[in-house]
Amino acid sequence: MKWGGLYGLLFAVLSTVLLVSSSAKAESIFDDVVNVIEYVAIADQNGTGSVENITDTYQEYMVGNCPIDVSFAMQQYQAALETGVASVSMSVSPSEPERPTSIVLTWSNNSEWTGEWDADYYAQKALVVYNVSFLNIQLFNGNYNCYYGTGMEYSIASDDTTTSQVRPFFSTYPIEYPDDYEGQLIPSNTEPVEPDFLKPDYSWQVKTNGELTISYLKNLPHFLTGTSTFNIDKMNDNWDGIDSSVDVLEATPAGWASVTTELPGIGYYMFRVNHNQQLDVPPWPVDNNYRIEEMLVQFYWDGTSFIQGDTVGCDGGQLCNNDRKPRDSWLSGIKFPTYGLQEVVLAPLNFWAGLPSATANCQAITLNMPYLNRNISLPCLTTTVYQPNFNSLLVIWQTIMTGLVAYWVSIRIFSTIKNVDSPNNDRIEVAQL
Amino acid sequence: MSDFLQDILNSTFFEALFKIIMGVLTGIVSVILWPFSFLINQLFPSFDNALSQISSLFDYIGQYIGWATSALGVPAIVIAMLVGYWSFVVSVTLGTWAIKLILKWKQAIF
Repeated sequence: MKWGGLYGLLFAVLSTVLLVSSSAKAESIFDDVVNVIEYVAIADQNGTGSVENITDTYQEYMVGNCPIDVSFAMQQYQAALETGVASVSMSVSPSEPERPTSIVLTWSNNSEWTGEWDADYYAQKALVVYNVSFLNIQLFNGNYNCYYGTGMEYSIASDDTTTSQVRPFFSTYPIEYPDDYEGQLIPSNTEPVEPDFLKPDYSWQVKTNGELTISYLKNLPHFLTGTSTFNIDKMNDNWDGIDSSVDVLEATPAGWASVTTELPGIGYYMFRVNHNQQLDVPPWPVDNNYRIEEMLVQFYWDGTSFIQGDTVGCDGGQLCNNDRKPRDSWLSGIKFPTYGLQEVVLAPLNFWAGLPSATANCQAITLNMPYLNRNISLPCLTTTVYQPNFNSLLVIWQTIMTGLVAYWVSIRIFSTIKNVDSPNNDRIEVAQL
Repeated sequence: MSDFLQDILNSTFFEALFKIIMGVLTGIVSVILWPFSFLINQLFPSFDNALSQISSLFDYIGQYIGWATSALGVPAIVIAMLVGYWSFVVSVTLGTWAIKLILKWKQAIF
């Protein structure tokens, strides 16, 4: 106990010293007049643009009027000095087709962001350089609002006169500045910590009745709080436009909740998930909020199948369409011999293994009529006749059949295991291969 | 209930379990029949070609089975359950038989 108390006292003294010294440093930082950044380079991080393009866009779209007042720029400005790299993220929701392209940034020599923004696009920025930790411009057909501020506090400037044409645009652009400019406040040998964009993973599934469920899966360093907004849209057949919005749902808190909606039928769908909250992830350089990536998933539902997937391995802000998991996924990846007696013996099993897939993916049969030289096409009755006309009866029929078969299978498995397990009965069910 | 069963069948555990069962099953069959297939291939190549027609028959039937089950309104989950059950029975049967065979050989040799 004596040694414990001594250690505790020593720890308290050291902590106090460190705390006082760091506080003094922070005060001195905030009281200083930050030098002007003379040079800013805008680089393309994701290969979806170029410096020249951005510059051109910037010069081209100097229209509208939404000035950003960054009178509280000091703190984040210094945060940027510590991280060494600041980033600007721009994203435009694809739910509204034909958006204008770009964001208009004006970098002024008095270390302030000023912006005049093109009308009718949705842009969201995580701006670490300044205290504008988010810059959210929402412009829709008709009026638009310009939100700017810090955290959850923001001001709004409105313009009632502008209408818009908007098209999707996804990019992340870091803004780099020279390491050795006069405003540098940290030693040059300090390892820079780059702000990062975190990507959550989601799992999703569409049941046979069209019920779409999206759930937060994992991949964030700690619990995901705040509100997640889920936009579910029905796309056209070419994936290049939205036919209609299926639903817009919110989950609060995002980490616990899953959302469910009903798909209207066969078609191409896309859902995207956005978050209203940044994530504080240790180590915290200074106010280094990590942005949570927007996730987009597209899939095709045939109106009958159970499909599911997740966004693991997908990039944030990019369409994720390659992980759709068909209903018979548990049967895929099994290799059967294709030679000799093995093939013959296992042919029934191979046939059985292909049955669920064949049943779920019914193909219409085309028969050639002899003497008439005509083809007769027999459509799949479930999708073309039963479901449109007798869906309720079909569901009842399938439910009863599924229940009976499940009961029979359960009983038979139990019987098989019981027979194998019994020491007095060495008879087991013999399959006729 | 169908979706509930589908969730179970598509779960990672069941998927891995089924793949293991099928792997063991196909492995046992391949090992047992390999000598016979080798002899047939070497001594009766025409007969070996004829054997492949049997599996072709199943492939041909498989082209229409999807339409047939659709016409009967049989959901795929029912087929999936039957396939799973049948695979289980065959695996247990063949596995037990293989173990007994190995024990017989062991008693005969030693």
